[in-house]
Amino acid sequence: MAEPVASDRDLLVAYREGREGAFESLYARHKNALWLHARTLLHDDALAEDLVHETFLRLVRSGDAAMAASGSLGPFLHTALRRLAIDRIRSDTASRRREESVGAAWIRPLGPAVDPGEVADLDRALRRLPAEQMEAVLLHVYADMTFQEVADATEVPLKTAISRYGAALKKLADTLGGRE
Amino acid sequence: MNEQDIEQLLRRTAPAEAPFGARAPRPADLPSRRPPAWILPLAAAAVFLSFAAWVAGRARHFDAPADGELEALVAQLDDASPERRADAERRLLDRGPTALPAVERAARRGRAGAQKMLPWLAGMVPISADRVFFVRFGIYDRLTADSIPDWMQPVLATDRPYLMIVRERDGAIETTAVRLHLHATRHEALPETNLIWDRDEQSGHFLREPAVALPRHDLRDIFVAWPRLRDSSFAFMAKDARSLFEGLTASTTRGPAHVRAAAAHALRHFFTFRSVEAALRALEDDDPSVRAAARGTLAVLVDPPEGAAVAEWWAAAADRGRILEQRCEKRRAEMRKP
Repeated sequence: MAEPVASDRDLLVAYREGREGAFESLYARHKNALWLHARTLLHDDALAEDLVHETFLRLVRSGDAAMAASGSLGPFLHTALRRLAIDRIRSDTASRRREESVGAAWIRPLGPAVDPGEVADLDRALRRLPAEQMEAVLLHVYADMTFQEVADATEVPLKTAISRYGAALKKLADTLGGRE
Repeated sequence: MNEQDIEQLLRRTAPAEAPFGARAPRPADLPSRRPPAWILPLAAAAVFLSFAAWVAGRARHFDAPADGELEALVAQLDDASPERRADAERRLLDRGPTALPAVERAARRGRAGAQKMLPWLAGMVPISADRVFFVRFGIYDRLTADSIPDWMQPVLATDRPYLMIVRERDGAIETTAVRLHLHATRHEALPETNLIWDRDEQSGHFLREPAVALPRHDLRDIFVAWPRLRDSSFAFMAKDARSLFEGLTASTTRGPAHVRAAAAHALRHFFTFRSVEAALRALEDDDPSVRAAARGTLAVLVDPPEGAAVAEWWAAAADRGRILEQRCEKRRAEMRKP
């Protein structure tokens, strides 16, 4: 029988009780989605990496705020990352560095059954999305957040979050439609 | 490929593997739950150095010529008497930004009166945690929906912060009260680099308002940008004046005709006794555009009889002023009751 997967909250509690392995599990669970989120906002791989680590440090220092999250810590982490990214974007240093490009792929296929060519096309199409639409996609699909959580994390009304997601899908469909 | 196909394809992918590795930050990277042994001597040294710096700072403070009156006014903000508190508030507002450091210091020390005063004096209040600021002037804070008469209610400046924008359209002066988000880099000149944003009531988003532009020299005569904080925030203060209102009234006598007209028009958004007086003075201006703007303003402010002579306007304004004064006094008396 498969071992039940511990929730984010359980892992955080375990970490606070001194089990550092729990933190590594949390980190492994969220780092890829957070990195993609940071790359979407900053367009700079190196800055994005810094930001992911800062986000985890914020989680460690967050005290009861993160513990208040029920179940997944995704909304907390993505909201924290977004705020850190906004701070970075506003700094002069960041604006200079953001001119650098994002090199490596944004997404990868889940399993061998997925056509890598199709994923590569999707990757390219995702990069052409406006940042707020890309954010809606990655938070909903990759961070597994509900639309309400997406709206809270991006500080927009629920309807806006939904419409951004719909607009992103439409744009992706338009872009990839010609591939068939 | 339709949108459902796209969604399915997205769900068959995952974010690319982050290249910064398979490991989480180690305890060395992260703040430990238990302080390491070396932290105590370091903390003791830090406390000692802070104390020494404080002592040195106090010594410098005692050497420096202190603005005794300013400090007394700040202390008076916490006076038991409402009249004395109000007097201190008024006099500190009159001092303008020069009073800000003293009030900030007192606010940091937890003085309630200074904390209340700070946003008025600073001219700006934070609206969110992401360093966005609205512009606010103290003059609005001193009028509330409760303290003004009913006849002013429809045109009341609410407690929402806003700034007057003066613009010229088809040769006529217009003023618009807009809520603003101002963002500019420190030391950049006003108004070339300022972006004017209006907040969309429906969506809550900030929208660029293309029709509103800061007329260059007109507003330069009235406003001066006052850089605050360490980056990218501006407050507007009336130039050579202690409040925006005084800036506007001063421009009715000093500035060129179109600035006087703009000011006369803008006065309708400032509901004080002095705005009525200023508009009445503008009625006697040599320039017809100023007189026209003032007449329109007075129509908003005091609703005078149709085709009235200037003397009648004065009388109407005086009546309104007395009513306003009585109602404010009544309101103040009510507030003084336990």
